[in-house]
Amino acid sequence: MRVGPSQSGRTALTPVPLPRTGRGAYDGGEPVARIPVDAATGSGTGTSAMATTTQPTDVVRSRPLAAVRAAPRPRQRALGERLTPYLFIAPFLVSFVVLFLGPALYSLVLSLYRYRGYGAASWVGPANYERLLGYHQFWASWSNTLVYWVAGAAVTLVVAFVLAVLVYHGPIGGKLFYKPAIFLPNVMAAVAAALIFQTLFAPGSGVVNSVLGVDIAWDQDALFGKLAVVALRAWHSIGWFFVIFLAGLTTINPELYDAAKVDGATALQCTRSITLPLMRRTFLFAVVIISITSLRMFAEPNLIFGTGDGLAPAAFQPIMNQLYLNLRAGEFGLASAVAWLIFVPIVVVSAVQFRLLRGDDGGSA
Amino acid sequence: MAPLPLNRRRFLQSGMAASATALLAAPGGPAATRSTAFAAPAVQETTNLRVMVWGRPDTVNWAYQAFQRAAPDAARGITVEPVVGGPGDQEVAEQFRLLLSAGGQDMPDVIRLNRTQVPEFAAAGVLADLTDLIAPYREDMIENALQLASFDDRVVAIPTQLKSKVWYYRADLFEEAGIDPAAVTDIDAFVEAGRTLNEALPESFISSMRAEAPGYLQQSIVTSFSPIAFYDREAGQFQVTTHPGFRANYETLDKLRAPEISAPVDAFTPDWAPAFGDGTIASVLINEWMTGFLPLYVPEQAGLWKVHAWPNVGDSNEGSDAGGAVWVIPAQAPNPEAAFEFLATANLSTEGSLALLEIGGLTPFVTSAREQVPSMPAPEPAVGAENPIPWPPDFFGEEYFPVVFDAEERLTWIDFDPSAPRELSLWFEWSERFVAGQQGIDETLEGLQADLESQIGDPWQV
Repeated sequence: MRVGPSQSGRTALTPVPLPRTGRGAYDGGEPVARIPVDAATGSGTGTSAMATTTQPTDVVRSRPLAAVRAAPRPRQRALGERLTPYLFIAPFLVSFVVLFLGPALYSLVLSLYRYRGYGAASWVGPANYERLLGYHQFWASWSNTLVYWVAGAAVTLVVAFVLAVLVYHGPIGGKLFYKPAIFLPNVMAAVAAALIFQTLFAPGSGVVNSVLGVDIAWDQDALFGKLAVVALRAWHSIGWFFVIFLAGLTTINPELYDAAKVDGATALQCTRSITLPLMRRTFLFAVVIISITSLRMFAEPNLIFGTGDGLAPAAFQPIMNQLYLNLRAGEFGLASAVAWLIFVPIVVVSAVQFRLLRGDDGGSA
Repeated sequence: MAPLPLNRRRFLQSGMAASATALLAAPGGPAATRSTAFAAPAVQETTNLRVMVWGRPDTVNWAYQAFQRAAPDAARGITVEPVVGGPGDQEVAEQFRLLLSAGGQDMPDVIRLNRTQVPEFAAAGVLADLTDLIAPYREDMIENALQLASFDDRVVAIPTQLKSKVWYYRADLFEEAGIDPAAVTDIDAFVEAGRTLNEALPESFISSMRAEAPGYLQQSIVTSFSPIAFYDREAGQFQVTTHPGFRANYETLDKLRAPEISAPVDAFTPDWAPAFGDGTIASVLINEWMTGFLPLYVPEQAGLWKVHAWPNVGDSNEGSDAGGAVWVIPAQAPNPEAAFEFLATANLSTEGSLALLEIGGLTPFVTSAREQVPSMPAPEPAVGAENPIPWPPDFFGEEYFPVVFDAEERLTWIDFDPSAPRELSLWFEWSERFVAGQQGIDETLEGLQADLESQIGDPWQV
């Protein structure tokens, strides 16, 4: 820490360069003036008289002595500086704690009890987790969910990316039409879209069977039924990821493409060597988002294939059905345990994706 | 100790403390716990009752109209506000639990439940005890209706709709195929009649089932073997592998799922109503609530549909799916006295019961009203009513009431326990696999038994 008088002999504030982080460079922010010093007495927090003989460096501004004396005491000021950012984020922190963290911790406690939501709760320890982990339908539901996730993400992201590249770089007219047109299905409520798909994929009088002239048992065939759900997911969400990828494409400097073309690169080579690497963070965002939404999917399969009780047959049930079934049955402890057994894999999957797609640039996406 | 000077601040503090103490100590104060039994009726001048139902608010409106007809003076002091708790009975039960977990704030005065959910809430002591209040009406109620409203020798509900087993069939198609329903006395005869029908009319089926065996069908089958329960409380174990009713269920489903017997259509799917319309489904083994659906699905087929008693499953044709629907008054209801007056007048009085029959097609279960039904003329259709229910004999023939009354005398239901919703969902999951041909009867029963034991344990332990 360096302090000292200005060349004019008046009290000066000396900038303190921000420490460099282990990986990153100085972030370009303004230097921070920290320690006011009284030139007459040489006093200053943590300074000695010897310090007053040090040559001044990097003086950014000076203030009258009276103003300096009127300034808050250093300790008070440091406390204020530390608290200010927290005040700005306090609304979020409060809502996060009250509406998410608190209930989440409560559900963690609840998962160790047998509880109907009212009356007394019975401590059962890890029994709820043991019940679920030993339940075949729990794993079958996870298996269904993984199919929806992997197949849905693959179709959605690939199609959305290709469409984005074609619309952004492609030699096609009417781009102003394609952008809203592709996004349009995303505007429709998921429930409404699912109800339409229910009609499309109805086993007897369904539109798809009628148009194709086939008799596919969409509600019974485990493969075709899941394909219907994946089709709905892709149709509904391609537009959203299309917009995300378009935004990602606009961040790439066009001169890179121009230079590559001068060097004789083809469109495919440009995509592989320029677009894909530079959109890594966009892909990370897209993959994480589609993973989270897929793993906690609930409405689509139940709306397409739901019957009397509104739920899809076991062959199509996503893992969220286990949570819903226990909630509906008044088994709040089991439902809480299911929630945690969904939450933990989502965190793990997200962490793995961050690590795989973060790249060498710090991963601050 | 010297007395403290009484300045304005201390005066206000003291006043507030005294007020709070009085409020908390008062019997009706916020901290007071309401008894599950309440005192004599003390209806205020105008009381608004909030009534929670599932689906549509029709049942509330019907009940209120019946109340107005039966007791116009009392109805002037009571208004009713329907609250739809969700699409089905389980969603309403879920809402009830959430309200209880919130300490009873905004608790409705009345909630409609199926018998399926009653044991959970009655065992928890959160329903008003109506045993004494219902005493004046007991003699007039048929025994099954009274039992439907009872739990552990207490009356905790007021019945509103019995759900006895009724077989609906297309009389014209049966006649064309040469089938006499009276000769269909058991499931084997039913299956044989189904073959005859399909041979004569290849596009028509006597039943329908595709991916799922409907819950109403399965419950109706197993209750032919009443008394039946998932859990044998005395033995302390589930009994699906040992009770004959559950095995008979899968033996019956096995016969019904044959391609010439059942149309490949699941109940309550988009294909269901059209299948009635084009004659694909020519009959359905179901419960009497179908009276409210068929006229909506196929209004043009009035007079073509008839009703008949179910064929025997095993040695009996008694039973139902959920037993019936009931009104309950939560122990924390804000206006329990007015709620009881409204419900009892609409559902248990002679005039109210007959009005409910005229307005909503609900079969009365008080003897004094049932005696008048055969001589009742068809009521005038309600002007401006949404989805008016036609007079049942107009749609289903003159034998409607005798058939339904007879079936209601044989009303039985599963002896549900507090975990009934979860037991039913596990049961139906295993039945799906059976219907899909993924496993046989033994494997299904053993798998269900294992799941009930591992996922529920003791259903009476909370």
